[in-house]
Amino acid sequence: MSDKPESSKTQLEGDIIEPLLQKDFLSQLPEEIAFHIIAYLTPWDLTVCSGVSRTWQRICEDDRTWRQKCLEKGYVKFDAPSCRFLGGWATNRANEQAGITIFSHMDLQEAHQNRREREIAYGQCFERSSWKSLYLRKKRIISNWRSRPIQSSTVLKSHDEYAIRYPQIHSGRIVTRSDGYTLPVWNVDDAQPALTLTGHMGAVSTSQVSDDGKYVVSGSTDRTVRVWCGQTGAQRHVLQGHTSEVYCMSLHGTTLVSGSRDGTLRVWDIVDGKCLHILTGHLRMVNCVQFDGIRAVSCAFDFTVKVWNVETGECLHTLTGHTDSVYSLLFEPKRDLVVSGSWDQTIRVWDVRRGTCIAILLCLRRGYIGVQLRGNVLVACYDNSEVGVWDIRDGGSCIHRLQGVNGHTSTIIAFQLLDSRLLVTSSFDGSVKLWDVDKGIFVRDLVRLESDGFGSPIWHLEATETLLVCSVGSQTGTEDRKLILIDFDASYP
Amino acid sequence: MADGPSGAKKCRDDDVLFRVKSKEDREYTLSKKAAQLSGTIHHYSENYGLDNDEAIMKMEPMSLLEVSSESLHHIIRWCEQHRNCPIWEEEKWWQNERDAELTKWEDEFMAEMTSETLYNLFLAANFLDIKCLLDKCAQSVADMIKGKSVDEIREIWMLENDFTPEEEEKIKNENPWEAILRYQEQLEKEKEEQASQPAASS
Repeated sequence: MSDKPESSKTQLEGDIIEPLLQKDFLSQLPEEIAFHIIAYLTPWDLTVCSGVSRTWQRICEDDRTWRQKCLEKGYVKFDAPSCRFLGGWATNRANEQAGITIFSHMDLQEAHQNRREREIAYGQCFERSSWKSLYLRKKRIISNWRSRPIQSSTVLKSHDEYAIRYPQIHSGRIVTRSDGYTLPVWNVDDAQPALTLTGHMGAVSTSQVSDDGKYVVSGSTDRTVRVWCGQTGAQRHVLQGHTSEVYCMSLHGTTLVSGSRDGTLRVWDIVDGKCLHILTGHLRMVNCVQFDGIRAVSCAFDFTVKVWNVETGECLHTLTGHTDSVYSLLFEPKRDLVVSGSWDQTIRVWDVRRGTCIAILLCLRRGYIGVQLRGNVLVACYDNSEVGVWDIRDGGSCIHRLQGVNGHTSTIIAFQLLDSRLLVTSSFDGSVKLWDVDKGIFVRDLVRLESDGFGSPIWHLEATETLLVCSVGSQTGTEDRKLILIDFDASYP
Repeated sequence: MADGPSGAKKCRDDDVLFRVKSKEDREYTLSKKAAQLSGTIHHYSENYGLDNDEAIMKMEPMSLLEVSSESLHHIIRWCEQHRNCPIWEEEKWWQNERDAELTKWEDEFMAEMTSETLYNLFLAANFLDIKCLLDKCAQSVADMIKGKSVDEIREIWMLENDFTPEEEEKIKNENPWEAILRYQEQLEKEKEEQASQPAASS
């Protein structure tokens, strides 16, 4: 990564000056000059320098300098450090379960030592410079993903015989969908069940948690959308109106847009449970919808992508060009960008303000499980165990194909791209792997199921920057249905 | 004193000359354009009505009581070389672009400095508020530090370690890069051991 020490760029100067150097520039020059000098140091060098002497430490732990380093990397918002060692984390360690291999997991003694370190959530560095501490914590978390041994893991088991799917992590909770028409909710910190949202009369096909955690919304084959209290699990509203299966939804604030097999989208106020608009225009099942509070973008099996003004219910653009069903959608309102993936083996990037196509990525493979975007880097998984990494600028170009000897041996069924440009993938081959999308290389194996996927692939996964949740289902019903949780968090040093 | 790197620009005869005086009371001249690179001189000219060529030609030398003759000599060389450069954006230093030739000249200029002259030049650039030179000095010192270990830094700058062993251990543990390196070393060691064991048993 870029903050590794650079080999001295101006070798010329270094060689000539070094033998004569005796002036201690950092301590003897006025402080404002010293801060000017350290602004040119990398975080690595700053960290080394603060170990030289007390004076150097004071200068090199200047909070404003570290704040700048954090902002350059986009390290700003952060949850408080968690301590995922109790409850299920202590009693159901995933690496002790039959059939599950967690690669390079700490043994009990190491884990115990690690836990003692983690119990100090805010160390002394945080008192000296909170921004430096934040930078180092972020670095630790990334190295927990990339190379350090796995510190803590657990398994959440389904209470009934139903599979638990589509984990969604939100403010300390994991919301899942069960094949038994319910939504089981789990606590992350103690790895215990919290609630079960019960009421749907058909399979739950889509769900979302509101940003403030107050509401959970879900859509089902029973043609209803239901609104639940995120705290108690009580059912608040049953929203009726769709004449077929509710297939997708997108919530912003307290306004929900749902899409259905009936070809329509409905706009709802989830507080008073009223339908505000019906968006008509798609000719076949609506597959995906994304909503930013003003505009909604939807894609359907009628090969089109539509942009809607949700307040008026008007269709602003119909984006045509795909020659087969559009199965996935991404909407980045800030840049007016929409990315759509289709069975016609292309991914298209659209400017939704103008309603024009700005890039066509020729994948030459079908993909089924969507696309994800961070900055200009787009990741798409194809149906042949390959991952394509694209740069969407200038018409789009494929920068990496993630495969090779360490790659998956079967179709990838779930993936997640993290802010730190790491990619987690799971496959029918029963393994979970980690990739670096910037370098385009395999990083490490995280999980392998012993049956090698014959019968129990990892169907879904979701990851935050500090937690990975995998849902293990059984096709034949011979194995437990469960979630595997792996912790990557770190405390502030 | 050497005239410095080849191709050094000097003020031309037809330039309007700005007069300055060093700490040692020695007089120097520099072109009007070069003088304007210094924020301090710029302010001085505004305050003393030195805003036209005629006034500058008649001016008394400006005393720079904090700047030695040696530093002033280097400062003038720097300013003459940079007098036609676009304005240096302090807040966005990474966006400032320099052509390769000028960068080469700057590197050679810095390479001539001994520790003592660089130190004084730094102070003088700060006093005269010459942003591009300040940035270059800061970058040069940073480049000397980059990539070195704690021990190397202490040795070069002859710095005393005034931490207690406990404090030092704590600081080491804070460093996430150090932790990764140690872990990788441990892995390699284990690998080596594993590689040597079967050989011993067979």
